Amino acid sequence: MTRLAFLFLTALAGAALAGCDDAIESPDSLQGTYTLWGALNPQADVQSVRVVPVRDTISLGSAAPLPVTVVSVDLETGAETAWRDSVVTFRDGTVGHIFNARLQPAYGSRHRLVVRRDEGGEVSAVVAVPALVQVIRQTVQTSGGLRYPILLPDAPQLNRVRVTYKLTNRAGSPVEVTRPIAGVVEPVEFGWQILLDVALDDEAIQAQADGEPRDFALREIVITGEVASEDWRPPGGVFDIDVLADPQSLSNVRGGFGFVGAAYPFEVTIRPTPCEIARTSFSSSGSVCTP
Amino acid sequence: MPYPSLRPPSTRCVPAVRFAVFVALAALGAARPAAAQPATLRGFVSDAADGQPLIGANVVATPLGGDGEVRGASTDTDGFYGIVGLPPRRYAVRVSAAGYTARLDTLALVPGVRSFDVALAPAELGEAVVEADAVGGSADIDAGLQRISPEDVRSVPSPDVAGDLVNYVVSLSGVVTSGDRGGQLFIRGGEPTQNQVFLDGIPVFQPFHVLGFYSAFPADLLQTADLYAGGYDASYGGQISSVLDVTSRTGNLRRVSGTASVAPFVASASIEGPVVRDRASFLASARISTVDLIAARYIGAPLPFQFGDVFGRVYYPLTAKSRLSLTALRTWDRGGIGDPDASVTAVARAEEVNYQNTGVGLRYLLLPSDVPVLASVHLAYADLNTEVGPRAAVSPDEDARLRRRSGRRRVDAAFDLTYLFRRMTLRTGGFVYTNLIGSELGGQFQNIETERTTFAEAGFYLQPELTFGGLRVSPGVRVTSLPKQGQAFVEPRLRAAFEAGPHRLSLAAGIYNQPVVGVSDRRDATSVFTAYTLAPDNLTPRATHLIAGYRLRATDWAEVSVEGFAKTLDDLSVAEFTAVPRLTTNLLSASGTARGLDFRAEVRRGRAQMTVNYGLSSVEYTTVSARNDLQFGDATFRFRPGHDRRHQATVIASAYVAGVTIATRFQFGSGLPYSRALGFDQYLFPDGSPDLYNDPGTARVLYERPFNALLPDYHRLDVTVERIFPLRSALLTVQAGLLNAYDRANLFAYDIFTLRRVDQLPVVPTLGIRLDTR
Repeated sequence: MTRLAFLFLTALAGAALAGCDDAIESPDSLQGTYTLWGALNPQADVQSVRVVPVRDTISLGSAAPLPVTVVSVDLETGAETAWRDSVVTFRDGTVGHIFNARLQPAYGSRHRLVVRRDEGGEVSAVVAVPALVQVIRQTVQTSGGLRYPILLPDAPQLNRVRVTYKLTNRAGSPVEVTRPIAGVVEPVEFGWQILLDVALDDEAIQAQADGEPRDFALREIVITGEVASEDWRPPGGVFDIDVLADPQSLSNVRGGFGFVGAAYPFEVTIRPTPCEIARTSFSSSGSVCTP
Repeated sequence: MPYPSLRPPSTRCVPAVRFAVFVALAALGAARPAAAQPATLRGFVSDAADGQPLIGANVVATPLGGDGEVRGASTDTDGFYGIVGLPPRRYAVRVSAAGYTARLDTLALVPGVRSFDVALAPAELGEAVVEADAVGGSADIDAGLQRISPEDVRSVPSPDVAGDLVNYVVSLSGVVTSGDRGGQLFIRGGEPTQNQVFLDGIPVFQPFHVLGFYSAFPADLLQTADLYAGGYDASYGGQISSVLDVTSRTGNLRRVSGTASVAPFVASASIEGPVVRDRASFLASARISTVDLIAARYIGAPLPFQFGDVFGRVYYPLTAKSRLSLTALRTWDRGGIGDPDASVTAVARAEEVNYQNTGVGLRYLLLPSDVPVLASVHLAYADLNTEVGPRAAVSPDEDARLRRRSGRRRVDAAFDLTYLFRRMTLRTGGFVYTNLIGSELGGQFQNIETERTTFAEAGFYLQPELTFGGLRVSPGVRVTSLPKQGQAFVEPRLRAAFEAGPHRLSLAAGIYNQPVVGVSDRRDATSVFTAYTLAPDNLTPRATHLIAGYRLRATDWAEVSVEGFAKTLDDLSVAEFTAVPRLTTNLLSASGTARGLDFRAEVRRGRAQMTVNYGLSSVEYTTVSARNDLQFGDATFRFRPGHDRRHQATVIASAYVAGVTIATRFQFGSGLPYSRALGFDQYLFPDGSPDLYNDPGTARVLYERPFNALLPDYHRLDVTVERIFPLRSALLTVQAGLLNAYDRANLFAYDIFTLRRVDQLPVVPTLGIRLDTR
């Protein structure tokens, strides 16, 4: 038995000296891969896109120039535009590289954004700028509340649709409450429709404006949003931060990660009539509904 | 007639308890046997040297003068045995136990119950005491159940002289640990919060110390420990993975003795002796860590661990037919598990966890006169407080923001009855548990804010065991109700074994539910904080176990066993997968399977022994969610959780050579799954045109798929050499050793955000001394 134990120890020592790999298996390197974030805006004459180098560890980033050249090509005209790097240090200490170009893409145009690595290879994204669309206010619905339907014919995608209630409190001071649309924002056969249901916002306004809606006079409603490129549609139709954080879930970048879209803002201003206000919990500023 | 002299005159101190027992007996229809019934022989077997109960002693009654059936029984954890249905006549009764001189008496049994208590004297050196159960050890596994003795624990190299139960348990195949820190055990696919641990009937919710070699159960306190790696019978319930039922020693009824030891990781002391000679004993022990004082200094690495425990037990054999014992336990732990150099941004890894267990329990054991029944009543109080917060000093506001607390408290009142019949033993019992669970998490952990819940569990169990020759069949059922929640669980159980000569086949199966769940962030190995919460009504974790095994005792010194197991797990909670590194996350419901095969072999000859354990297992979790479809292209996502160790092997060898005991242990474990990161970037939530100049974004992990890669294999060798020096009135034990003898860089945790690794202990030379008074 003692001999057996000795042999066992010897065998173990031999195995140990022979060495076993204790290193952690490394994945294929993503060095030289980039993540792109940005949106082309046909209403602006300067475009920006952030280029994030993929790193091996989490870090704040570096201000050192990235070994890349960034250009964009208008796929309709073939015109190429060079983009220039700018370094931004954010409040949390993170360093970002934002490339800018003096460029105003046309509505309905298509562009290819290319990040060319100095050592070869590229990361790219094709961006379709949405066409200019009209914003059509449809007939207000006053049965059982107050709803404002708005149609954007041929809009490929609507993002970040918000409503701002411009109010006046009893002291006469202006108060603004901005929140996501309460109601429906959905694609329809001819584009996208927004249906703002004012009654659904009562509780939110109460919380944000610190008072009951009847304490405020409703002056104006402003709906804002972005008409976005068609591929800017989140999986499942919902912008879920955890789902979209998955690198593959919403990306149009080839050879890298991220998303470069195109969008331009729209705005609809509604000045409710006293009779429309009477359908809500708000008070009207002195005017009386006279049907 | 060798009745032990354990005969205090009165039981007046526990009238209420006695009353409860008799109420229970009456309720269950226990009746006195008629005068014409056969005889029952029952009693307790104890150690004559110290009066402590002897477990596993064999009592064999052989009829004298003519033919007749030889009948026998072995003692349980109380030293109790019972042989029922003996024809009234004269018998030769032999009582024997490994390491003790056998005793032979002649008894004339008449109809009715005959109590026969025996005190066995320890064998003298050189005396022949060969017993059939001399092998024991890890190979003697019976459908998931392994009985662990103090000798088993002491056979494993340990960083201190005394040894500790957990240091042995982690050597068993099927038991996966988080490493040498953290105190987390995963048993046959289960998670740490699915294990149930008892000390003398007191639930201990987190008994494992923050340094993985230690638990609340030093070998010196241990009488025996039953580890059910699954398939446990109906007397246990409430958890879905395993049961570790520890019975402590009762203390010396004859004389006072004590021990003291010091080693690089702990210093300990214990004392035991009679409160009143031969009538009541006490046992007290205390341990405190010396890691920061000794080990950390010469290892040269920060080991910010502090832990300790105190234990006390008073044992009072009131009469020859009753026993009363009171046990109390307190443990405390504090430590930073993760990377001690973690940056401020990596808050999770710069945390310090601390937890304390408190337990008090009373057990009253009674043999009612003339009724072949063993009855016991348990009262227990158990409390766990756990807290995690920043390790470094931060502002009070920041501390309040980051600190999280959780606690669990339980008060138990239960009774157990064991009815002895000729071919059957019926165990039954009832219980009421009052639970309080609470958490203050500030929404930073699993989206739980503040929670405080009180609820009761009540129920009963039935577990008859029928014997037909070599076949034992024990079907059972446990019924548990949570009246406030309107929940009830009916859990069928089955244990069976067939023994024929050296062969034993065993089988166990059962359904298990767990109303109280512990929620941990298993994505981070360094996060051992657990928040307890009542499982939602329709999401009570549930498991089905099936175990089948074969044991061959080839000779009286060699034994091998092989055992297969399969568990299905439903309504588990796992952290939702997200590429955004953050501490909080939502929970996903998951189901799972655990399957495996354990092979064990043990050889014991003289003072040498060798054990080989190999385990092959597979654990798979499945989540079904619409989100999976969006993330992975399929609503069903299957993965190997972080504790799925496929291959595991342990070899333990010890021998006594030239006055020195040499012990070695080699352990191997294949790599554990983890979510390998391909890289990191910044994530800007793309719900609209990004504000590039003001939004820095959030750090993001670029995964392939969660748990898609394996960490390196684990292996190490521990060696100790021990010698005992007899002194005039004491024994001095000196132990030297090497932990991780060939300095393997075994990984404890790998921070995928910084690519920093935290390794387990490097090679650590140890030197411990221990003094035992004679």
